Parts: sequence; structure tokens; C-alpha cells
Amino acid sequence: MFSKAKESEITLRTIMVLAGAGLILVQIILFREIGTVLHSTELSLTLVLVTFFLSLTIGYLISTPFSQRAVEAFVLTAGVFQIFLVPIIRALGIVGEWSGWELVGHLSILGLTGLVASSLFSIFLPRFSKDPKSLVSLYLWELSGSALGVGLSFMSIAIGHNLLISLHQVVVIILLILVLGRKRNLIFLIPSLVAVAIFSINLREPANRKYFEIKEGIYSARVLTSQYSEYQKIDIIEGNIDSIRKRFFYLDGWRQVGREPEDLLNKTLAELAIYLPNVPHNDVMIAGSGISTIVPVLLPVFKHVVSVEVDKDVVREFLKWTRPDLIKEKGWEVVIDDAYHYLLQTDRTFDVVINNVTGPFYLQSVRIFSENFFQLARKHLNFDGVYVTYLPEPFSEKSKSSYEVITGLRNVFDSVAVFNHRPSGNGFAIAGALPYEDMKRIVALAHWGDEDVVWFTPEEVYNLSHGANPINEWNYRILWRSGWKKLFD
Amino acid sequence: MEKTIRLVLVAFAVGFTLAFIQFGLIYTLNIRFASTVSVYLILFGAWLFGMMLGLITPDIRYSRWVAAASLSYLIFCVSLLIDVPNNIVNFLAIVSAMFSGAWGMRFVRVFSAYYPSARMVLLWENNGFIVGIILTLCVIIFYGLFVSFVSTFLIVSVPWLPIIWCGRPQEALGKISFKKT
Repeated sequence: MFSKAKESEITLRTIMVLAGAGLILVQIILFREIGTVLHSTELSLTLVLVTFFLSLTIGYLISTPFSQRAVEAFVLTAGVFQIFLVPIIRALGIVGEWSGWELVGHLSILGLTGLVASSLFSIFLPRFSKDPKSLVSLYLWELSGSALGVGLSFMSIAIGHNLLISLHQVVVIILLILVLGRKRNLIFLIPSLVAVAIFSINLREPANRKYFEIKEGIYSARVLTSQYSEYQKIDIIEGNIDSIRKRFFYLDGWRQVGREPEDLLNKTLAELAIYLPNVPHNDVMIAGSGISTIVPVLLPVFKHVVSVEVDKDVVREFLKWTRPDLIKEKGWEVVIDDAYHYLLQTDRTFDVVINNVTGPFYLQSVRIFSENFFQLARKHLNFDGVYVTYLPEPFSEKSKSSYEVITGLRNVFDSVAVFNHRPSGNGFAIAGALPYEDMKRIVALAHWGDEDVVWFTPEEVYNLSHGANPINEWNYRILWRSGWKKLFD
Repeated sequence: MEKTIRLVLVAFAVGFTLAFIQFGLIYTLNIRFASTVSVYLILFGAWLFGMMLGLITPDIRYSRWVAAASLSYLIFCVSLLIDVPNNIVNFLAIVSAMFSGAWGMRFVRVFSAYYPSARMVLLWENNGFIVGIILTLCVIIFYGLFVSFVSTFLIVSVPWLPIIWCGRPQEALGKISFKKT
């Protein structure tokens, strides 16, 4: 194989181009596929990336010291593994959820798929480079392939992730045929091609459906949509739970809507905006879409509701599968932008700003819990306006992450009220000019049960959170805590 | 210090610096602007383009790429501290990514001649890159935008390490071959 490849310059260059393209394609596929089970936080993405680059190290290590026969056997094994990469990842994801060994299952996905498979692509460059001149020439061809891979990955935002998987499989198959161009190797390759075709046509969606059935404990599930947007994976699944047909919405495998904790959290945020005393009901801004649970509650009360959602595909899919009627509402406006960026640029002011962004598990969402964002929000609040947010964890003696958020709020706003809401299991903070005693009147106005809410006096809040560093451009320690927590979730 | 250890350390330091610059840029743009696949791919595309430039331009010397990478990163870093329009900061990030990629490749082109095999330089550069990815994340989590200052320090200092420890850049290819692969 390798000696044969050397004979033809064109074959050699094609191998390098395919290896370069494969490197990029497999990286993007690993990011996306493993992101579903590891939730795409910076921490989990770094784990994927480190595993990927470790696999390149393995490839470099075995590239030259071993015999042609041994390397050939490895290329074939890793190649076939690459072809079945996505089915293997999805099968391991299902096994991980089913066995209850979630983290072990997920890390085994990383180990197996990353370490074994991706090493294939790093074998060729050191193996074929005999002097610095040939290294430069081959590297250039590999980089051209990588550029092609970047282009295809860019296109996959429009043409879909499934096509990217197929392209990756085709790249690996051609690579194997070029490198192992012997008849006996085709014996392995032809069944692989058939299996890939079967997977491409029939097995993609069942694997996804089964994963969510086990994860949610639902049955007779149906995948309404499963797609990769520019930002994340969007899954909308319908299934039976206690004989009731329900819909579950996931972003990067993390449930947003469909079960009580999330639905109650959203409901509480909406009620805070509606029932807080002395707050005018003209303009409200939601950081996040809030389509299925917040916007419908706010619309009858507020004159203008503005949802600022960065991902247009989330808006489209949530509208389609929950409230298609909302699109006709004149009082509702959707701005496709990052909430932070939107407030930096707009002159509009609001009576209420609600934080409905998922997190804070990743950099982008942590910014919405930062002191810098609170300053922006304050600038855009009317005189009687309030800022309403949930806390990273219920307020207690051990909630470091909530202390950091509250310290930021206290640095920016005149008055901050903090309470835990037992039914949703969350902590909340209300910030603005309204005195703490007035804010407490929400319990009666929203008809919450007294036993459902635990308020913390300003002194208690000060004593507990005093000394915590607010989240800002120089401190994202919350990512460390929430990232690990999410990984083990 | 033994020559092999020096060669290993140089490749490791270059990989480490490249990871810091690449991921430092991605995280910084994520903090300041938006976290999208496009941001990652645009930066990575600029990086790749720079790598190709570093390979196919034999007339531009190593020191010039180092100067371009250092200067562009310094300007990017300064732009983070003063009130500069977002588009300009984005543009500076793309330019920095391109020049840093060009320097990284130029290093492979002109210093690989000192290494006994292609495997050695690629392997240790990759290992440095791995450690760099992990440390960049740690710096961004614990010290936020301070990552840009660390990257600036690395880009203005590490590129001179190969010259100090290996020797003059072999600008003309083919003078020295790998001894054994």
C-alpha cells in the first residue's frame, strides 16, 4: 500500500487532501455528535478537542516505527471504525443512558471514537515525508484538504449535518481504497459500504429517538425535528408519559421545555414580570425566545413583548411545533441577536427585562449573568423598571455561583430581592429601584402559596454573598463549577 | 542542554503558543461578540489561509512573519482595552489568526531541517498544542480576557526560541535532509 502510493504522485497528493479534509470533517462531527450527550459546554468541548488531538499523537507515534504490515492493519481498523463513527457514538450514547452509567458511557464514547478513529489521519504526513522539502509539499496538500473540509463544514449549516456525515464516510472510503488498494481489503470495505448505506437510509432517526426515549423515560416517541443550527442541536421529541402525549424541546441534548421544573421556572419568570407591584405593563424584553411558555403569558398583559434570541432556527422550530398562532400577534417582536449585543446597540427602554437564557453552563450564556450585562440592562430599564432572573442554583449557604450573580446585581442595582421558589426548585432575583418590602407583595398578587416561597432579607443576602467576585470579563469561574456539574448531570 | 531535548522543547513551545493564540482568539470573540460555528470556522479558515501563506511564500523570511504575527496580535490586544468598533476588533482577530498561522507553518518550513524526522516535529508540536488547549481554557475561566495578554506575551517571545536553541532559520529548503525516517 504505502510503497504503491509512493509510486504515483497524484495518488499521494489525493491521500493528503483526503486526510486533511477528513481531519476537519471528523472534528466537526465529533463536536456535534458528542455535544448531544455532553451538552456542548466549553469544558466538554475541550475534552472532545483534547481527545481528538491525543488521537493525532497516537497516529504520529505509530506512523513510522512499525512495519508496513502493522500500519496497514491499523489503517484498515481505524478506517472501518471511522466509517461507523456516528452509529457507534449514537449506540454508545444509548447504552450510556440505558445503563445509568452516563458519565462513564460518555467518556467511553470520547475514548473509543476520538482516540481510535481520528489517529488514522495523522499517519500519512510523517510516513510519507522523507525530507523537509517533501514535508512542505505534502503539508500543503493536506492543508488544501483541510480548507476543503472547512468549506464543507460551513456549507453543512445550510445543507444539513447528515450530508456531512455521508461526505465524511465517502472521504474515508476513498482514502482506504487508495491506501489499501488490494483485493483482500475490499472484502472489508464492501460490507462496510452496505452497512453505511443502510444506516444512512434507515437507522439515523431511530437511534436519536431511542436515545431520548431512554433519557426521558417516555415511550412511543416520535422525532418531530432533529437538526443542527448555526449554534446548537435542536431536537423536538413527542412521546407518551403517564398515557399523556407530550412534547419535549432540547438544545444540545439539554431539555428546555416539556417537564415541570423547566416549565415552572419559565412560568415563575413570566409571573414576576406581570405581578410585581408598581411596574408598568408597556414594554418587556426577554433575553432568550420564551416562545412556548413565557410569551403567551405576557402578551395579554404587556403592550410590547420583545424576544431577543440569537438562534433563528430555535425561533422557527419552537413556533412551528408549539404556538404557530403567535406569529400573527402584533404585540410580539422577535429580534435575532445575542441579548448582550442587542442591548449594546439599541436605544429602546423596557419596563421589565427577563433573563430566560439557558445556563450558565457556557461562555455565551454566562455573559448574561455578568455584571457587564446587568449594567447594560439597567441602562435600558425605565424608571420603575425591574430586571428579573433565575439563579444558577437555589440560594443557600453553599451556592457560590448564585453569590457571584447576586454580587453583580447588588453592584449595579439599588435594590435586590432574592427568594427560593420551592415548586420549581429554583432561586430567583429581582433587581431594580423597587424596595424589597414592595417586591415581597408579589406572593399575594400572583397567588403563590406562602409555603412555596422562601425570602431572604437584604441582610441575609449581604452576609452570605459578601466577598464573592461578580462575573465579568475577567472572571468566569462559574464555568468551572457549572461545567463539571453539567458533565456529571 | 542536549540537542534532542532542545528540539523537543522548541516544537512543544510552538504548539503551545499556537493553541493559546487560536483558542484565545476564539474565546475572546465569544466573550465580546457571539458564540457561533461561523466565528470558529472563519477564524479557523483565516488560520488555514495563513498556514498556506507561510508554506508557499519562500521569499518572506521567518523574522518577517514573526513581526507581522506579533504586531497584529499586539494591536488586537490593545483594541480590547479601548473603545473600538466591534467590526474592527473582529477584523483584527482574523488578521492575527492569519499571521499566527503563517508563523506556525513558517516554523515547520524553516526549522524542520534541524529535526531528525518529520514525525518528531509534528508529534511534539501536537503535544504542545494539547497542553495549550487545556491551559487556555483554565486561563479564560479563572482570569477571563487576561488570556489575550498571555497570548501576546507568548507570540512576542516564543518565536525567537527556535533561533536561540536551534540556529539560523534554514530559509532555503533542501540544504539539510532528515537523517532517518
